[in-house]
Amino acid sequence: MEPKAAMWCSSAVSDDASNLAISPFDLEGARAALSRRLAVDSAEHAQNSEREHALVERAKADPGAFAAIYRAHYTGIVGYLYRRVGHEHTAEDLATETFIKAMRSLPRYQSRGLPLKSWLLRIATNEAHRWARRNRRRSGSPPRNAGHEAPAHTARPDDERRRIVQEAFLALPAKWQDVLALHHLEGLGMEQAAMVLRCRAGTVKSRLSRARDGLRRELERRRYTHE
Amino acid sequence: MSKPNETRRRTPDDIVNSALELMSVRAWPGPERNPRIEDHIMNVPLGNRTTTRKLCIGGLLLLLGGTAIGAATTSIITQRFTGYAEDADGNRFEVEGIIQIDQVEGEEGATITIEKAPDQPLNHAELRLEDGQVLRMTPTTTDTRSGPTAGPVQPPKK
Repeated sequence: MEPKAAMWCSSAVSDDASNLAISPFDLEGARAALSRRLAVDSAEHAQNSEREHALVERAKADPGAFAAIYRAHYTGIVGYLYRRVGHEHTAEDLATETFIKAMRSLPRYQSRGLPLKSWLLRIATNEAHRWARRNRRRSGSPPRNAGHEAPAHTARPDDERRRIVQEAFLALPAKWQDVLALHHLEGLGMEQAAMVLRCRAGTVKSRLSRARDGLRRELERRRYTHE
Repeated sequence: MSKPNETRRRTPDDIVNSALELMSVRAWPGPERNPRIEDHIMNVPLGNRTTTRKLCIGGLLLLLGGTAIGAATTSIITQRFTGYAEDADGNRFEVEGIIQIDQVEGEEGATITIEKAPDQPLNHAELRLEDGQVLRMTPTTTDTRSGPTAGPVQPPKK
């Protein structure tokens, strides 16, 4: 599966190519179209970063302004946690903890080029780790997404496959879950995932390869079929 | 291009890609707001811009009926409101903010946070909640430091 970021990149090239009627062999034209698109994107990115920086500075001085940060990022963060833990109420609880911790830590937050969403994803990731540890201590085995399970008589084939996948995912070491979730589920590139996890992009890449192998083994052990 | 009847050979990656695809398409099915976070944000001191007035409302069960009561007896509800308030001199102000209804040791209480409220104590308020219900309040005592303490809430205005 291709990450979302990569899909965006290829569509950007083809959009501009068709708008400018570039022939398939006009590589120079395609490159120019791509660089123009990237220039626009980077200008927008700079503008967004500036806006975000101003918002964060305001929220540091006035906790009421944190509401705007919460409104902008809540569904993104709770969605990430939901895809990761597979259970609505757990995701909501973890998102609550994430935002409360973010609000408390905001005065100490320094961007250092890291987008605010990456910082929130880092806190959310740590909350997911805590949740998994608590569950392991309680049950002695990896957490199961019990809340997601449909009763046997109403379960559809997709529900059953989803349940198996979620269990296989949750059986993986936390570091492997992190890279799979950030790269494949959230569509972050290697560099962005590395920023969230505070490691090098090369580390993300090698972990990703091991994580995919690990997930395949867990799926096979559970006799998962994908058709 | 592959031929129509050609069966593509499965690679070990297919099973992983299919599983990750199944996980990634799951959109957040819940609400877009989280009252617990909103409550936390509203309860942090906001300096001079916002005035918080706590109104302990006795007999809140008389008040709204339906959803509000059901939710108040089991858990916290938090809703935004708009409306107006009057001070002791009869001056009328437009107000907005958040009302939170909860149960503490078997007693219902409401915390009403009025944003951009005037500094003087309020005498009367009529607040329209997000779900359309109207809450009318008359104070029974007035504490000049923290604002009025409201008595039983009047039935919703027809």
